[in-house]
Amino acid sequence: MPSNHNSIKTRFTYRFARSLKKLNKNRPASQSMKETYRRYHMIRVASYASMASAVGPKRAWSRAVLWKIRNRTLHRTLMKKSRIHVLRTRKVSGNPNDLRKLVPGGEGMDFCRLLNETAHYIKCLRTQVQIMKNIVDHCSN
Amino acid sequence: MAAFSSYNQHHPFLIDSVVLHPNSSIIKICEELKNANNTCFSQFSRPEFRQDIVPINLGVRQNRCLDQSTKVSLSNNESNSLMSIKNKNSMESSSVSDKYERSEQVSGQKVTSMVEKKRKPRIMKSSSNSAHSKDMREVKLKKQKNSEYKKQPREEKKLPEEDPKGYIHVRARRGQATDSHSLAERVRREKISERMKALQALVPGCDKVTGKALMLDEIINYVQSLQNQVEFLSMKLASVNPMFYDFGLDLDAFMVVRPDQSLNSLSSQVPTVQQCSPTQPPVIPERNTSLTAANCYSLLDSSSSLLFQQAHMPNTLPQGNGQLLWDVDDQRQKFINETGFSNNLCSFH
Repeated sequence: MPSNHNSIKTRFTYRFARSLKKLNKNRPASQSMKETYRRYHMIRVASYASMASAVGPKRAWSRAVLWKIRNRTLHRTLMKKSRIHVLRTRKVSGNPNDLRKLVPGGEGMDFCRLLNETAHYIKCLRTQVQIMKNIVDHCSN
Repeated sequence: MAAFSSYNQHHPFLIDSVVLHPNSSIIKICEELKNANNTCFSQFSRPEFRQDIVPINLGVRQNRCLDQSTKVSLSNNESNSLMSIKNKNSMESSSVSDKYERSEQVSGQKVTSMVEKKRKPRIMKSSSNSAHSKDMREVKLKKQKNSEYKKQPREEKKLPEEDPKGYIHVRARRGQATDSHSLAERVRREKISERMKALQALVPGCDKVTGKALMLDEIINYVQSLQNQVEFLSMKLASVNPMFYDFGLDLDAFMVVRPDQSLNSLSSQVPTVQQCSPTQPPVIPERNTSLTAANCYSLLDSSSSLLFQQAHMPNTLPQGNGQLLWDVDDQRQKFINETGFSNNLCSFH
């Protein structure tokens, strides 16, 4: 379905570009390290959010992402800590629980569904990465 | 009764049961059939014949509570079966060709008969005189009609939801358990392996490893790397701010170009998208398609929507730009291929 994938991709790019524009307006890049770090966080969140909203509420992972982002003000510090913890302590083993942690919203799924969501998530992440790369290329040129 | 006598040669027990529980209507039907059955026989297949004959006996033996409609249907079935019997008697050689025809004709019925085969032992137990188990198990469909066994219709309902591949798979291991739990488990395992295969195709380097654990590991690594890439790219984007603002302007400028292209057919639009992409990153044309396709986004901020409204006006503008974009050197060609590849990759669903 070319139209479908096209629509997800285009929706993502559109949303992401818009949010970047807004972000640049509000918070222009400065030399200070702290500011850059903040910007980095916001851009990352914006990219995930725009991808999730582009996919829509049909998928479990996008719902989870949106929920997390919406509620991130409530437990922002907690999330940060746990995320770093997860990323550092992960050992390499074929444990489905690791995948559950990586795929948003994967904690509550059965394995079959998890695999399904993972496939979709991977596709979306790929698109996201590709488009972001394009933007970066364009910006650095 | 000639029809029945001929039938007796092949399946003696059936006639017995009929004799034990005589039913006048059936005999009448048989006689009618005897008169009428000189037409084409070849289309009636053997499994049909078996399947159809037996229910009559059952209906005779087990219950008189069949309503009139089922009797009619039974009589129809019987007509088929008796004709096939006659056919068998008259020309034995043609039965072989019939078999071949059957294999082509009734693939769907085959599936159901497979399911029946699987449940054979249970039915044998349940029926009192199981002299011919082969026939008895094919009674099942009709039994369901009579609602004798409440368990079987449920399973019958459940099984068609699976794909035909599942049938064959389940059927292949005949000795295995056939209760609903193990069937469901088997289906689940099949599903998982299917998804794993899909993921294997998706994740690079995953097709070399074998084993579920290793594959999972590979998938996990890939997802992580993608997420890290996103982080890295957003880090980069955070640092290269000022250029991006121009880029945003550029996007809007490109939007002006786009609506005219949307007038072309979709098939021509796709290549232009891919060829436009090298000069500006593919983001831009695609974004424009999103605009043209869906101005229904209520989320459009004011400036871009304004631009979009303006975009409809200058239709003469884009031609020059389009021609500029059309000549591509080798480097760009490479890029095109890349983007085409990515387009293939992100086919959702």
